[in-house]
Amino acid sequence: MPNPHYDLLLKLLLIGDSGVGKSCLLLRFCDDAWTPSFITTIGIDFKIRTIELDGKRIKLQIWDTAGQERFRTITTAYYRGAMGILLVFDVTDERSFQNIRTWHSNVEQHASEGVSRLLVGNKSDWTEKRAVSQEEAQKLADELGIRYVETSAKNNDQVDDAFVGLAREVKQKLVESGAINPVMGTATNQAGGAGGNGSVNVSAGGQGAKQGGCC
Amino acid sequence: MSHRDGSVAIASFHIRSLEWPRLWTGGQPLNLDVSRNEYRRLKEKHCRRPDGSWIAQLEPSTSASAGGSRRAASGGLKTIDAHPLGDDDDNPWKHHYASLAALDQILLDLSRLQPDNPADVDEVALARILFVWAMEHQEGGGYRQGMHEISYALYVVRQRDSGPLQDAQHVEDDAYSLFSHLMEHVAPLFYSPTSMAQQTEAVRSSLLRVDPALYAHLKAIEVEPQLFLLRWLRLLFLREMALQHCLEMWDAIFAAAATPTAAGEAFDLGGIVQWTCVAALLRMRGTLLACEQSEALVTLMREWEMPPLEQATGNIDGRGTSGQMGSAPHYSGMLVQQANLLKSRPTPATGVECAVQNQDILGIPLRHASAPSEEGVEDDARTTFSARPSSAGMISSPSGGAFSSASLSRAAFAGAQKTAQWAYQSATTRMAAATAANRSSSDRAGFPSGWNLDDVEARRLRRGRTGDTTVSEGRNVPQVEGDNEVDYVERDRRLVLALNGVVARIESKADRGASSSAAGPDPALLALKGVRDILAGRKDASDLSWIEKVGMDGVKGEGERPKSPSPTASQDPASSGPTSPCPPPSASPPSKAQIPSAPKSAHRAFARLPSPTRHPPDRPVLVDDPLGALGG
Repeated sequence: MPNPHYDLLLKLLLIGDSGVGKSCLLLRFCDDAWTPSFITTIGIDFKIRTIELDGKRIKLQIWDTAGQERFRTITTAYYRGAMGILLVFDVTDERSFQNIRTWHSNVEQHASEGVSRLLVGNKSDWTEKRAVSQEEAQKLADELGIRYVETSAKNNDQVDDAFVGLAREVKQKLVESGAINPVMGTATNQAGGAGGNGSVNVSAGGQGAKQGGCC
Repeated sequence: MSHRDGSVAIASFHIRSLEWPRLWTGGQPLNLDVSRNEYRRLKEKHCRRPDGSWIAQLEPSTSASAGGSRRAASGGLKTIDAHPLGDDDDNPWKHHYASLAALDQILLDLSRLQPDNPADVDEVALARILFVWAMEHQEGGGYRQGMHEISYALYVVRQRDSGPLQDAQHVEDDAYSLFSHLMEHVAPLFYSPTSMAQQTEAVRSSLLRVDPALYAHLKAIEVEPQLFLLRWLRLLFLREMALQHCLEMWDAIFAAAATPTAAGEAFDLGGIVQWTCVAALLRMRGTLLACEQSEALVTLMREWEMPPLEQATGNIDGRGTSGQMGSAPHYSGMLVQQANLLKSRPTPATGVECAVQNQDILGIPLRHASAPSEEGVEDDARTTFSARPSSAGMISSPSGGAFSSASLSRAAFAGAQKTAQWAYQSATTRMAAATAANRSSSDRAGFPSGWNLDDVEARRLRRGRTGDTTVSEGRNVPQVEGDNEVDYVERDRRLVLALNGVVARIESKADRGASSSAAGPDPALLALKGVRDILAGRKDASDLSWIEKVGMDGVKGEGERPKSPSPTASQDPASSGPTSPCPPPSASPPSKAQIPSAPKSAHRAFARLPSPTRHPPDRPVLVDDPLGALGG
């Protein structure tokens, strides 16, 4: 039997207005790099990083979406099977903060119930241009019942915390719901897993949680 | 403007900014005076505020633009009644401010253009082009992300064409016209989910027709084509390769999309683009088949592998002479050649032909040797491609070369390989002929060699087919087998002729050997004849039990030959045709074979391929049995 290189696969999603730094956050988290002007995302982009949580190897499949994309067929595909969603705004751009409500209602509409969410205020390094205070953002997060993290992809500030924290939350939820076994990280309930029909899909593509080994 | 090679003549026979719009508009002559005046008019209309002053971000620099004064042409600011902060619906200021949101998006995207912008494009001019176009197409949806990259590419094209025939003063005007024309064909993919869905479906179903195994794999790992196609289709592959490669590819695509009809020329971009997507997928098939979902998506989203520019074109401007063009394969143009081929004959056999080309010309192995083997799904899919890996089909070579000689004698294997090579050569010959024909027409000379496979035969076939649109092709989808199109028949006829030759040759050798008659005919030869007879329509393709009867069902390897003594099979096979060195058989781990759900014809088709010969050393590699799959 072939061996997996990870114990759990999680699909995370970045959403938010165009230009708030979604791609930059992803680049920082996955490649530890930064560029001041990242090329526009067309449709979606996609990166992978495997992290270790509580001794388990968690493969994060992170989808980066174009801020302007409105095609329903595309957005449906984004949200399908997503287990964690980062709602990103730019702390120097008031409008991107206002639009978080719209993005959040999109999540409610398209994502599966119980999906973990995180509010991310990016570009926290740009203090002289800040337009959204931490308190304001925290207030919105409280209202939506989610956590708030301020990041700087440029300075690599709290970027890992945002992604890893969300992954931890997703994993915790899966354990609580009995989808995975807390000790072994092994899938216990895979009914309908491959269908991915809007339900939380631990094993997209059938490769979810498996016992590890060496290869 | 002088060119790197100092030759004006070379530049003059390939001016994209003149040729492309002619193709896009069905051969209509361009009237540059009209289009330039029109753009200037639109620019005045949209790039100025209601009081007549320029929108600050769009103001032309005085040096670069004729008539680029800050004030309106009439001179001075216009006096209008409306107050800039008025909220009446007919207040021009209100409309003005609304349109600035679109401008913000345009400027944001332009600021994020490719960082390695070598062309030194005037971004303010680009912003004007996009903004004017967006204002003119507000009802359709205005500006959408990605349009900025198309406009950039076209601007570069027009800028590079500046010279004796294209006035450097009019780069912006003409770039607008180019953009406007091309968007007529591409804009629906930005605006209409239905258009995108149709095009995506067309690619999906086309892939099914030529490579059911890859289709089934992508489906099994839940890779939705729309995820990567969105970018491929909207940007016409701009993001998938360096700009220069893409411009060369556009040469080929636009030429192929312009098809002669009874009423003149028509321009059907969707058809050729759809098949170019398929050709691109075929090029990645080995990697994709070895991937699970995440890795497959990463593969599909990253830039396509192309050789360094110098190697491919010998000339950064891409205006190389035909000699330079011929000196290195045109990797991007080749995709379009294959797309043409696939479009004219959408069968698994053509898929094979492309895969063989990719192996022979580009060195892309037919399957990925270093496949990470971790997933059950993936295992199934690999089985789908390899059709029936037998326990004896695993042969590794200490030198790193590995190939399958599983159940076939090397002679028969060589025959199969020869057939595939023959098919490839015949395609190459046609390409050369088509290229030569095209060279003679001055209009299209200078395109990458072999850019167009539309030889006389293909044109005849196209005329014979009605309703050749993406939609009707989509409807035909599942018709992988029983494809009665004339071209397919003709192709098989030629293959039969080739196989006849191979069979005759092997038989004559067997006769000279004279020892085989007692033991009966060589099973390999029988298998070869069986394949020939199926191609010739003399044998029922749905019943393949005869393959097992002749012992050619892929369960025996080189080490254990068919039980029936068959001296011919062991006779010097190298003289029968090109073949690979035969490594000693090695112990092979058991492999579980599952009969895949994809249509069988594809396995038969891909089974005819010679097996890959490039593998990393030191590991046993699962390789295909060229004819063993016939048993599936």
